[in-house]
Amino acid sequence: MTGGVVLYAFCHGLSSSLIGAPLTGMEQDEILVQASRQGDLDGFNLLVDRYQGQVYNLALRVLHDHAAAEDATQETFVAAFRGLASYRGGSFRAWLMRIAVNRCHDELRRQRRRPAQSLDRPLGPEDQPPEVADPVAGPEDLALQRERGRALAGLLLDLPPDQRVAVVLSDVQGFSYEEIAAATGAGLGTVKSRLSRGRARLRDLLAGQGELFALPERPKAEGGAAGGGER
Amino acid sequence: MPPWPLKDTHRWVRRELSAYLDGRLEAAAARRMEAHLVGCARCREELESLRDTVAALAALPQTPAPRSFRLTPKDVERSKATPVWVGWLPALRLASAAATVLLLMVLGADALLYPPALPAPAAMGLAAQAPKEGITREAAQQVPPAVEGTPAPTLRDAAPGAGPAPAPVASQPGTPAVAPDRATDGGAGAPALRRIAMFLVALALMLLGATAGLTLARRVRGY
Repeated sequence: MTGGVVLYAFCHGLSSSLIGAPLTGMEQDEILVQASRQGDLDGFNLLVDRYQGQVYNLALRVLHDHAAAEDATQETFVAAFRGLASYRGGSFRAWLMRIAVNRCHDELRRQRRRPAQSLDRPLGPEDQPPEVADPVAGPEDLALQRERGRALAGLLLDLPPDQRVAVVLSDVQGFSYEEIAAATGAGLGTVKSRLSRGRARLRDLLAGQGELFALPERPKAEGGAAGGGER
Repeated sequence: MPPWPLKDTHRWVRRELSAYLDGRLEAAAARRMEAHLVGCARCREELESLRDTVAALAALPQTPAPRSFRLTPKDVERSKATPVWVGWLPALRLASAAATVLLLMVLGADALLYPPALPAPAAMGLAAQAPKEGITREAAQQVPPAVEGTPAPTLRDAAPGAGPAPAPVASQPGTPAVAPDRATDGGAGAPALRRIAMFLVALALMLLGATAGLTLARRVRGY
């Protein structure tokens, strides 16, 4: 175990035992980044373990191709390790996602230049790796969930890349507006606008999918508007 | 709440529904939104369909990473081995684009300010139709000669360092009517622009060549 990891474990244990409050995710990231900057590859790989799922899923939803998403994920972490000096604090996740978003845009540009080799096609059943399913869902629910996931992933491709990235980061990955702004280099107003347009477009596309996305009838609220702000 | 026309209110509501769903509206805007939603079944439906869309996205299953993306010392070494010039490529692309734009501007200015000379026979034929000829010649003719026999100023005289120029040939009977700026190489303006253009051609070609070469090398080597 190298110095950075020892430091991380030490800080985590110290804060837990003395203060009673474990380090937040951002604080842990900060310690691991400091260790990685000293060349501690094990420390950096703890960050890889933490974020590889998010980076891969972002790339997969944006690129819609497993091989391209895999390449983009690997390149993201290599670029992140090389570029740690340019990380100026704040959300490491957003900083990392910015690299991933740039890699995805590079790949989309490459696909546009070479349309013959475009990977912009719906993933077939053979392309689908095992997905984390709801353990309490029955077989029918699981099948429906899979089918919906496949259809929705395909429909995301109909969004312009900027809107697609914003929608995936917000609604699939759960990023805040501020994190999306940091991850995309856009202002908060632009993020809001991209989300609004992307969601509206996706809603129209879903409406054309027939029964697959038909939700059970909900009682119409008489006079009481359904409130927002729960997120 | 300003008394907006209903059409504008609908438009505003639909634009802001997404932010309202995320709780990102200011308190006053949220109150206005709710007041509208209470009385507008259509906008309520829009809100619900948007909420369903967000819920469907949130329910998208996460795909586990197909493998570990942990970096090995070999990955790090390979990334360090990337040549320095790979980092120059964006700047090089920008520089070649800028040089090309500058070149086009200089060529455009050269063509506008110094139109090409007419072929001699045609120019002679047109000598009698002075008012219909090019701007340069017109301008030259419009300058009143200060003293009989002294050279009249031409456009190129405006260029610093230009020596005394011969009188416009069109004013001398029997002399071929050639635009004075192109007739001789003694002027400073056009040759200076041409020199700049030549320099920019060379620069743009050099930068474009370097960019193309390095991009190709990057593709081949897979950096």
